[in-house]
Amino acid sequence: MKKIRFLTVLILLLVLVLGAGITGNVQAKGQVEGQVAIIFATGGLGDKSFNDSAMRGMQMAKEEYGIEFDYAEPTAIAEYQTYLTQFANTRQYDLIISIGFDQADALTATAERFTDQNFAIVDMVVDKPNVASFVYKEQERGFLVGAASALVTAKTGDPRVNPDKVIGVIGGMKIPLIDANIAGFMAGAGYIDPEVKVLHSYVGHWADPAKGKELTISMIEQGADIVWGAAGRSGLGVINAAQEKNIYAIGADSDQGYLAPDNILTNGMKFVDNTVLLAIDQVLKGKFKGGINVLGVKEDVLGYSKNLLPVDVINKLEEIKAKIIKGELQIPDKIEDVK
Amino acid sequence: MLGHDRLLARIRNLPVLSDLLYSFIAIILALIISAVLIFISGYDVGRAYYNLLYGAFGNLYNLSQTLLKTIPLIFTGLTVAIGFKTGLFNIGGEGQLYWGALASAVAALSFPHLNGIILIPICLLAGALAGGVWGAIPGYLKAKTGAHEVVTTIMLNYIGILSTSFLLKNYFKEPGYIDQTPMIPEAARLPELIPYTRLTWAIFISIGAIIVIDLLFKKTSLGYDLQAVGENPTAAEYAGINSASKIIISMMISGAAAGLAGSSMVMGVFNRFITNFSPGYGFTGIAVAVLGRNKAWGVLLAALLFGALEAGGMSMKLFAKIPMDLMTIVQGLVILFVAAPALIHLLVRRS
Repeated sequence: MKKIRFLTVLILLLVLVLGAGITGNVQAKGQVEGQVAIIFATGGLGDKSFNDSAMRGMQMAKEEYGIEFDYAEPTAIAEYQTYLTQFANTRQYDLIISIGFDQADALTATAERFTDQNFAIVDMVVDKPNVASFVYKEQERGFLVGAASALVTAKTGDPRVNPDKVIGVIGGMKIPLIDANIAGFMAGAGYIDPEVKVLHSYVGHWADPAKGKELTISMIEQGADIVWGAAGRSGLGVINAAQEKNIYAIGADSDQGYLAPDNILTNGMKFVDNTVLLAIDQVLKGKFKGGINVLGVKEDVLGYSKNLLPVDVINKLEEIKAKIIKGELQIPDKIEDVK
Repeated sequence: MLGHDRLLARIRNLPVLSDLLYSFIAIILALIISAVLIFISGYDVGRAYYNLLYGAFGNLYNLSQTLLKTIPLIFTGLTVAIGFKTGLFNIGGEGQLYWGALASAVAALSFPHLNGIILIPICLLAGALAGGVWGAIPGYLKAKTGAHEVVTTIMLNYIGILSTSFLLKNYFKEPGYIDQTPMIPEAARLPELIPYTRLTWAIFISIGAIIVIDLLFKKTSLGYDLQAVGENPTAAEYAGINSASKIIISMMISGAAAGLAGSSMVMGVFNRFITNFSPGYGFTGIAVAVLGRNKAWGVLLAALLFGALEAGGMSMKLFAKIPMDLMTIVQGLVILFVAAPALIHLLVRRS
């Protein structure tokens, strides 16, 4: 009997808990302007870079447009499709956003299944009628930070700058996207001063700061005093090395200045937040359409941050930005094309 | 390693009486305590459990996702249960699973023109064989040198995962940014049961595996020998059983089950071998086996529970915004209560 009483109590408790669940969910949601889901890249939130910036964009959209959003943080590439399908299957989202190029395969498959669902992907092209792809003129931000580096490496009286006119850039992997950054960096440096020597190399991995650091130190030994890490999390190693050897590092994607306030010269900014906002804006205004959107300095999704840049350098960069927006500069996106 | 052996004996000899009832109570207790935790952490308990239930059973799609997550856990649960029966703690399921997955993918890609009726069995066999061989290695080491299988299987996990990754990157990779093989031929893909759910015939293969293992231990002399070695290797030797060879055979069958977990993912879910695809099925298998009391059908029920917790937990995370860590705590509590029946005995007697 006692056993039965105990069980009854347990079951009652369970019913209470679950009952609360059902009533809890019936509570009507307030007036929402739209519902958006976002799937981050495997680095996850807290990467101080790409994903965090995308999250900021979602928050901005929430404040500006009053949207509601849900998000997923996959930890492996194999999980992308699970989350995409999970979101698409609810059929309640006006837009589902994929962050990062490695979601392309999963998104292609999902977009084929849910043809009525609008998708967007940042940093990659997925050629489906219901997918809006947002990619960047990477070479433009490379050009800006390359120009900044060439101006700063020629300075005197700064303990972080040596007399050699050598600068460097470290890419995550040898892929066209990274090479466009490197090509822009070289072209930007050459635009300011053709005598500046630009070193470049690749980590071969997006999350290997130790290797990034190693490569940076080897560049410093070759006389580099400014190194740009365009290498995802591996870029943290570049910053670390710069701090240790007291030279300048350039961050990527987000403002990484707080990581090494005395050594981060500037950042090659990719405003994923603005990109996300743009994608949501299109959907809310009924202007969503599948296809490729190539964005750059003009759309305010690429740029640089001021950090430790001297005023004269900033002035010069603003001049360059204006020229890019007017289309007066031809910036190569392949390393072979850099003169 | 005396403590380990005693632990093993404990786990093997958990009381059979009203197992189901106790497991049920354990689950409810775990859910209630988790509710308190969710509440304390400042989340909406109602919304959380609604999403947990809805995400696991709410509609056909969600139900199929529960089953989808159950399949690999059935295999890895069997992996651990088979080992336990022979007195072995096979923690190497994860590495064996990766070998099985790679072998299936490579077999499928090697014979692109074969008919499915021939190709699917070949791929499954390749997966089971690869997992089995990887499992037999620590079995051999244990039988011949006495190297403890807990240590060797754990180590072989890393070697298994990294060596398959090495082979993938150097020999089987599809050109592109992602470390994955090309898609396997249509013929090698297990047919979908419900369209667009990725739930395939793999569920029947996993249930078939349960039946086979159940029969092995209940009806065959090999199964009897394996258990005899598990109960008391010295006594088994006196009875004329070659315990060394039984240890190797047990680890091989155990590894084959884990290999099939990998095959089921490659042939049913991803249709390719993709880097880093397992979220630790090999390790969750340990919990499944413990909860299932190391019985083949018990593993099925336990795997279903974990599948439901995974699927429901995912929707709890996505739609109620509750961190996955809390879901892991729920799972941990279930195991704690199940593995500590004395606690529940005490509670029942007290009430």
